[in-house]
Amino acid sequence: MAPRTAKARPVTPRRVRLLIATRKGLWTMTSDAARRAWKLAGPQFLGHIVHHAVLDPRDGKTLLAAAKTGHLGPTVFRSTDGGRKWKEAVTPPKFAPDSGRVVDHTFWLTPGHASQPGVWWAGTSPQGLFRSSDGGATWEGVAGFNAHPQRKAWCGGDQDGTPDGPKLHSILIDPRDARHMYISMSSGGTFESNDGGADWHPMNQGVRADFQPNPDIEYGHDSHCVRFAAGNPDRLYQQNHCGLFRLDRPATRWTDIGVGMPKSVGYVGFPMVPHPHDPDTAWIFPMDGGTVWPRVAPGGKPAAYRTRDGGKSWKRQADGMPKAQAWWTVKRQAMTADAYPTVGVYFGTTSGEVWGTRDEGRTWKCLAAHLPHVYAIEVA
Amino acid sequence: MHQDFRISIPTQLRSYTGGAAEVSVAVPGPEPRLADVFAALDAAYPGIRFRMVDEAGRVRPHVQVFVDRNVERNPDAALRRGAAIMIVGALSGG
Repeated sequence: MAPRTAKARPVTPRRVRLLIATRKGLWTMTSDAARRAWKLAGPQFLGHIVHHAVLDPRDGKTLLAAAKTGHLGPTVFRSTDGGRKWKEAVTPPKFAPDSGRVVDHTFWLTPGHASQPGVWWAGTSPQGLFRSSDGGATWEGVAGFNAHPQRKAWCGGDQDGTPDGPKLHSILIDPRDARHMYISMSSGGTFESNDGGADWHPMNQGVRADFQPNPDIEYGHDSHCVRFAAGNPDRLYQQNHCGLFRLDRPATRWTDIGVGMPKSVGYVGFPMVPHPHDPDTAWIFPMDGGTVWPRVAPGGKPAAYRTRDGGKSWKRQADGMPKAQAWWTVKRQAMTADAYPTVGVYFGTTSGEVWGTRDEGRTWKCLAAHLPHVYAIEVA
Repeated sequence: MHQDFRISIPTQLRSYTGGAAEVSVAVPGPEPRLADVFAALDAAYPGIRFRMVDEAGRVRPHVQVFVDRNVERNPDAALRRGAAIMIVGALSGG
């Protein structure tokens, strides 16, 4: 069991607000206190591909949304009043003109450390790391990564990687130390910095890379999503292209936690959602990664899986979900949890539905349908 | 010394021009290039340039630029005095 550093009794929030980033704009859903009734609002940025929308927990009112359109280049929109009014970033994330690299889209947004108000981090496709120190108005490339002499070896070329472009994601800031960070990439793997991003080193020992000639390589892995365990930033959970893994620092070797998954379902998926109060509990949402990588629910039977023992075992949770002929799946930012004492978990589907549970996965309910393809869901 | 250019703005970019379908910008210098027009446009309507021209200076793949009804994607292309510039959200699919 992981050491539990978060002992505070969870406080019941007044309601849950979800930011639903989709292929065609941004919607919000707000619940009542019991999380039974939900109100859908939007769209904002109709027609924009919104890859991620995130609330700043440090002030509770600043929102950032990473967006582009089919025709237009990538940008970041900012709101300082909870999403009523938005302004575009003056200088969105973009590579240095002489780098020859071009940001296709900003993919991931992470608010900075609590001691650094106004600092935000962004990950892009192709893989780039950017930092803002003014609440997202202006962004600068993080040279320690973007210009690192090993970056190309770590990531491959900008045209390599996943069908929708290689991505830098899962930017994690150690709550105990603003200089201690992790980033992950599809492809590239997971990397650590101990100096606020000035330098980076790979952190992939024990993670499989079955698609490489040498599966025991130091970098070049395909991390799909990496998260801190609740209250314990020495524990990381990873959903990878090649399995499920857990890292308990100071160890540097990941433990395979996918062996407990049923073979008929497998261990491929994108999201990884730690329980907000229990470092041994997390949810995943498996998808079909066999044959040609269909990227659908295995067998057309969608289900979340939950571990309560740090990944030793996994329990299927699908009560309320379609039992057959449901071919949607869930993208890496499209699943999240609220902070209620009995946790609610929410996910958005590639078919435009939003599902939720208010009893930690025992029963699920479709909360909204007919939205565009959901890219990300975050609690705001 | 400057030259004025009229630029047709596509619907995709009119959020930057206050809804205007056509704008006019003054471009400094005796031999203006297409890139100078983009710079003047961005000075007048901040942020518009990066949505249609990437950080390497290339017109984005799904944006098309016409100068006097001819496709022109070269930012170094010289412009004749009074050339009509049309920016279009390119047809790139069904």
